Amino acid sequence: MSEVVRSRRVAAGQSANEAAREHLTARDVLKVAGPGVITGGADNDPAGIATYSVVGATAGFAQNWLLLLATPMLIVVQQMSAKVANVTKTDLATVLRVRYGARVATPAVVLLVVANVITMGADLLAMGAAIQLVTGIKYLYVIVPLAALMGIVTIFLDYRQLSKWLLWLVGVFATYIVAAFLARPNWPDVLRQTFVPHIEFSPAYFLAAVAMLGTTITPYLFFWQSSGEVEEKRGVQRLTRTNLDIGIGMVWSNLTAFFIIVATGAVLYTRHAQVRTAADAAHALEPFAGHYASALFAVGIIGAGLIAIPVLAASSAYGVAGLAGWRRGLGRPARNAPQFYLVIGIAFLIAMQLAISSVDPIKALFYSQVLDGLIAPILVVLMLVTTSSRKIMGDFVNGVATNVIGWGAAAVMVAADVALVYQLVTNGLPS
Amino acid sequence: MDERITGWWDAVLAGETDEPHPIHGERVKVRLKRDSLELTGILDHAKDRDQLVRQARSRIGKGIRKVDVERLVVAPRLERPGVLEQTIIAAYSDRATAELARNFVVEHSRVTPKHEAIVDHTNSKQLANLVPDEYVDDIRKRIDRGEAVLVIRVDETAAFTVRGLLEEETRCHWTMATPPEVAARV
Repeated sequence: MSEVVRSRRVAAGQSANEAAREHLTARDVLKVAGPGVITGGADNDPAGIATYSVVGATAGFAQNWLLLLATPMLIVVQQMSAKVANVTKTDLATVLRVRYGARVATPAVVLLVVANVITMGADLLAMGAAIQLVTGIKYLYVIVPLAALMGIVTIFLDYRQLSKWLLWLVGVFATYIVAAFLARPNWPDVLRQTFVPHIEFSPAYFLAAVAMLGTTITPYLFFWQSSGEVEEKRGVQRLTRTNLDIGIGMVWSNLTAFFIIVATGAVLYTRHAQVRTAADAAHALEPFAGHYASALFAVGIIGAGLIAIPVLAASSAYGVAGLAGWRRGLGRPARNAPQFYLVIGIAFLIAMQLAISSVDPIKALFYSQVLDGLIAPILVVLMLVTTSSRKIMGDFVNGVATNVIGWGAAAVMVAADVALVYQLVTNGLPS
Repeated sequence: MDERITGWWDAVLAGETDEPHPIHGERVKVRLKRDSLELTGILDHAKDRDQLVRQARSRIGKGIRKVDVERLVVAPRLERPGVLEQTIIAAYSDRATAELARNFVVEHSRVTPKHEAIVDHTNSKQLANLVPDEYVDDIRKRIDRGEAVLVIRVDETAAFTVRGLLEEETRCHWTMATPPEVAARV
């Protein structure tokens, strides 16, 4: 169809939003996977798997309903990150710098980078521990080659090649579905606790809930999502496709989290097993759920790290380069955007150093969650303000449902911060 | 043919395959394998691909015997051009720099602007006709500081490329995109 004929489809008086709307066919739906699905995969990094495992081991299935509640929040926040990029035609860091000034953008990006690098270190350590569990090779020997390999892949693979690999890797989370079935949970009980909310007024229950929600909605996902839209140049005419991509990615992400909790809840909660890391959980599953369940759990941790670590490094670089106005993008060769790739390289080096030094992974995880927890609600509020502004978004301004869910997510994250402060005041720093 | 493109081809045939293409930059990659020349990359327009292939084939016999363009592709286009438009604004230290930036962006984005203007203190009255009312004050502040502002209205499908080029490849101090609007000609 010619461009002229196509353009005549726009009826007089139509808003830009109506004119841009795309009607997807069933065939299109199969091809929507993109930054949204990768973001969903990256959401469950080894540190996240550790959090879900601890939730399963300490609270059983009692908090599954919170995952159900968090899913629309996660979808809405990610859709806002994508929409900001597709309307303003730039990434989130640049939007923050141009709209709110360096005084707002700089601390947000600095905190993001620090939290990302610490998380990368904790993730590398978890991957090393999982490899040790599966192969018997001491984890310290695999961390450096692993970090070097992922660093090289992130720097030298083109965005399209890298995203293709990451999309395939997202499938690795199916291991948790199998692991959950091998754990033989009481399914009627799982379903009841998932669909019937249950609140226990105990500090342990509340803190586990806060950790779970904080792990689900994290700032690096916002930066990766918006930069992915810029890399793919999807624009507002593909918003339906983008939203579907995000929906699939986030549902898959939370479904994975659900099965991790089911696997650990079925085996470890009933036996009061203590776990601190994802590898602990994989190891603890073996005597009760069998070698395959344990191995699958460990393989899932390795796959999760392979997706999340490049995303964490790249989202840090997107943030810094957007703030500084440097050339950026995984679609560019390294020589064309040297500062952008330098940030990625430095992030990998520091993370590797953290992983091989004597830093306690639990402490590292705690501090990265504190930093993420501090900036996540601020970023969500800034995105809500931005996407609610008719001046910035025009006809693509948020609808009522998006605003209600978005502000709900911000409120939940603020509550998470309050709980974190409460924990610090009452219990002090983790030992 | 543009002298820069002829020069680029000469450099490629001499073995300098790392040199970015004068128009398409890093989007086009070249490899020389014995007597064959391989072009790879993703281009936005079929006419650009046709032109590159034609240029490559015309050089057969000048150090190459074969041209492989199987991996030189045109990006699949899902967006409909002509539906929406968007205005991109960029501020520069002076009018001369803004003019250079405009020429650079028009050449490298392969976009025909729907409208474009450079506004500074000499013609700031026309600002109200170029951008939505909500943006006039933001831009006027820049002009009052002595800056020149490039205002370029393009099809929404080209807006990512134009903003990216302005922001990352020119010496602009500030960029902004107004929200997409229904195309004026519809």
